[in-house]
Amino acid sequence: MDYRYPPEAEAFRQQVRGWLEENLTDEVKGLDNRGDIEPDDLLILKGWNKKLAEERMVAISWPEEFGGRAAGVMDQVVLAEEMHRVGAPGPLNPIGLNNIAPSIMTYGTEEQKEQYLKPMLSGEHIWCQGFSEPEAGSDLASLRTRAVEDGDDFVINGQKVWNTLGHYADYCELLVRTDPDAPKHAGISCLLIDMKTPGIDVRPLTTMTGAKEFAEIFFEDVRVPKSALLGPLNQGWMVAMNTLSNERAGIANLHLGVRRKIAGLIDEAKSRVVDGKPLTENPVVRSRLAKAYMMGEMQKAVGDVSIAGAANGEPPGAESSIVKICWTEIEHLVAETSAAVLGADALTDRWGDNRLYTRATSIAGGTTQVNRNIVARRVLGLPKG
Amino acid sequence: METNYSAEQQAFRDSLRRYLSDKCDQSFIRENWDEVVPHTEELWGNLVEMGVTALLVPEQSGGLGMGMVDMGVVMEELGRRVNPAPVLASCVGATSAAAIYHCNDLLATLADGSKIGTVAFEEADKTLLSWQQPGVSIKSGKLNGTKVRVLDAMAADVLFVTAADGVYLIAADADGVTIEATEIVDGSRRIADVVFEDAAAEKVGELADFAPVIDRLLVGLSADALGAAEMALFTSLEYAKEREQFGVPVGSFQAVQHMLAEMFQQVEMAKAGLHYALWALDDAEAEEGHRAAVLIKAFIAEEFPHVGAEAVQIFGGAGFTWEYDIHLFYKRLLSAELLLGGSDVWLEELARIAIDR
Ligand SMILES: Cc1cc2nc3c(=O)[nH]c(=O)nc-3n(C[C@H](O)[C@H](O)[C@H](O)COP(=O)(O)OP(=O)(O)OC[C@H]3O[C@@H](n4cnc5c(N)ncnc54)[C@H](O)[C@@H]3O)c2cc1C
Repeated sequence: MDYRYPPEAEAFRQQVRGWLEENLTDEVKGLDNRGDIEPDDLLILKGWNKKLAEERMVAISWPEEFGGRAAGVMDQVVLAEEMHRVGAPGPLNPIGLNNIAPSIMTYGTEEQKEQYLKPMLSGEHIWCQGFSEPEAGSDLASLRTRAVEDGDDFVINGQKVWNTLGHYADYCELLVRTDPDAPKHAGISCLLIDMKTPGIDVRPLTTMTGAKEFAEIFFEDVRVPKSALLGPLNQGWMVAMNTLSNERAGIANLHLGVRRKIAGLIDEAKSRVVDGKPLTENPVVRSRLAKAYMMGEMQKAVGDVSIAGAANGEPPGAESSIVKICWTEIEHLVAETSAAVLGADALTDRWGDNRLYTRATSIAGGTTQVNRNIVARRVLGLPKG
Repeated sequence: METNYSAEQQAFRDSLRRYLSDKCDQSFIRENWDEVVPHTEELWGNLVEMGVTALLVPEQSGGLGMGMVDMGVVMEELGRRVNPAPVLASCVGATSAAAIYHCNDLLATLADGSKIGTVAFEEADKTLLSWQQPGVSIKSGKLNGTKVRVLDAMAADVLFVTAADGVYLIAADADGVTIEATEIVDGSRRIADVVFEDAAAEKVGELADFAPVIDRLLVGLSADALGAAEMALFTSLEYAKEREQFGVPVGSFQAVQHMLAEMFQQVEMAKAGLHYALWALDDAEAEEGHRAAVLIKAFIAEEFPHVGAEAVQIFGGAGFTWEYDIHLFYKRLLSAELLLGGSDVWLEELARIAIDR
C-alpha cells in the first residue's frame, strides 16, 4: 500500500499552483460554473474557460491533438485538488467534457471530432445531454422521441426533459428511436444536433431551488443531416453508455466539494455563540459535525480506491456506483447536519439552498435505487426480480 | 498509488485463510465459545509458525520487523473466522508496547510465542479520551487500582499497565494481581477486570509514549471487524441466493437486494478507510496515523452493527437461532463496536481533531 502521489504528479501540482496564482483573478474566484448562471458571470466564465483552454487545463486527459495533455488520472486528481483549493471555477461544459466528448472521441468521424471538440473545450460551444423524457427516466431505453430517415436527413419529433443547461446550449447529444420495431435497447441512435435548427423549442424549467438550471426541449419536424449520427445506426445505447465508464476521475473527486462544505459548516459553527457559550462546545453539535466530518473523510478514502484502480490500469468496476451512492448520502447528511448545527438559519442563504440542491444528487445521473439495483445484480450476482 | 495489499501480502492472506478455514472453522469456534481461556495451544503454535507472533517485533529483537499493513492481513482473517486467539492483545498490543519501551527480553519471548502479553489501560470511570490520567496509583513501586476490559488478560503471562506516573510491566501471576473474567455477548472474545493490590511492578517508560499502542489496537480491532462484516455479508448473500419463498430466491426481492447492496457499500467504505489507516500508522506522521485510526474505529462503531443486524434479518427466523452461524458475526461486530471505546468516544475525538484544532 502506498497513498503518496507519484513525484510527477507532485511536480504537476507545483506547476498548476504557480499558474493559478498568476492567472486566477478575484473576479473569477468562487463563481459557480453550473446552474443558473447570470449573463455577466457567463461572460466572465467564458473568458476564464478560454484562458484555461489556452493553457491546456480544461480536459487534460484528452489527447494533445484535441487540446488536452494526454494526462493520466493522478494529474487529473491533482488539477481538481488545486482548483478546489483556491476556489477556481471549473470549465463551463462539465457535461460536454465529461460525458459527451468521450463518446465523440470513441465513435465520432474525423469531421465530428474536428468540428466539435475544440469549441467545446474552449467554452465557445455549450453542450447539453438530451436523454431523459417525460415517460423515460430510470427506464431510459423506453425513450420515444423518434427520428425517421428521409433522404439525406433525419426528421425528429418528440420531447426531452430535465436537460441541464438546455437553454444555454449550442449543441445537444440526443438519443432517439430510429427503429421502433427492434427490442428497446437495439432501436436507439445517438445524434449530435445544432440547437438552432428550426423546429426546436427550448423552455427553461425552474428547479425547486428557484434556479433555471435545466430545460425541456420540444422537437417538431426537426430536420438534421444524416452526418449528425454519432456511431452506428441503432447502436446509440452503446454510444451513450460509453460515457459512463469515463467518469472515474470525476467521481473519485466528489469528496472535494463535500469536504469543503463540511469545513465551511465547521467554520460557521465556530463563529457562533449561543446561550453565552461557543456553539462548538455543545455536545450535540460536536457529535453531528464529527459524524459529517467522518463521512467526508471516508468519501475521500473510497475515492482513493477508485483513483488507484484507474492509475494502475484496472478496468472500471463497481466502485463507481459505490462512490456515487456514498457521495449522495454524504451530501444529504451534510445538508441535514447544517440544520442540526445552525437551526433555523439553515433555512436561509447558502445552507438553505444547499439543503434543497442536494436532493438532486440522488436523482440526477441515475437514482440511488437504480444504482443499488446495479450493485445487487452486477456485483453481488443476485437474480432479477 | 496503491490501496490494496501487495502480492506477497495476498499470498500470506491466502495461506492464513486456508489454514483457518481448515483447522479453525465454525465447530472450533463453537467449542471454544465462552471458554474463559480458549483451547488454542495448537492454533497458537500454528500462528507462531506462520510468523504472526513475530510480525511486529523488530528484526534486531528476533522478529520480522513488519508493519500494521501486514498485521491488517492477519486481523482481517481472524475476524472472518471469529477466531478467539489472543492476537490483538499480544501480537499487537503487548508487542507494540514492548517495542516502544525496549523490553528486549520480553520481545524475544513474544516473538517466539512462548509468552502471551496484553495491555491494561481502561478504567471504569473514564473513557479512552482521558487514558493519560490513569487512576491506578503507584507507591514505592507497587500498583493499586483496577483496570477494566483488558483484552485476553486470562490468557496473558504479562501485562503492560498504565499508571499515574508511567507505564509498568507486571507478570499476570504476580502477588497482588487478581484477574476476573467478564462475560460478554460475544463469546469469541475475552476481556477481564484486573485488580492490583500492592502489586510490585517494573516501570518501563512514560505514559505519552504509549499513544501509538492504542492507535494500533483501534486499527487492529477495526480490521478484525472488517473481516467479520465481510463474512456477514457473504454468508447472508449466499443464503439469499439459495433460500426460496413464493417460488423464487429471496435474493430476487428488491427489498433484500437493497439491504445487501447497502451492506456491501458499508463494507467497501470501511475497507477503504481501514487500508488507509493501516498504511498511515506505518508510513505517515504519528498525528495523521492517529486521525486515521480514530476515523476507522468511529466508522465501524457507527455503521457495522447495522451490517450485522441486516445479515441476521436476511436469515429470517433461522438468523435468530443458535444453530446458524450468522449470529457469531453479529456478536463479533457488537464487541468491535464497543470495545476500546464506542462511537461516543471516537466521534468526540474526531470533534477535537476537526473543530478544536
Ligand atoms: C438536477 C438534474 C439534472 C438532470 N440533468 C439531465 C440531463 O442533463 N439530461 C438528461 O437527459 N436527464 C437529466 N436529468 C434527468 C435524470 O437523469 C432523471 O431524473 C433520472 O434518471 C430519474 O428518472 P425520472 O426522473 O424519470 O424518475 P423515475 O424513473 O420515474 O423514478 C421515480 C422513482 O422510482 C424509483 N425507481 C425507478 N425505477 C426503479 C427501479 N427499477 N427500481 C427501484 N426504484 C426505481 C426511482 O429511484 C425514483 O425514486 C436530470 C435530473 C436532475 C434532477
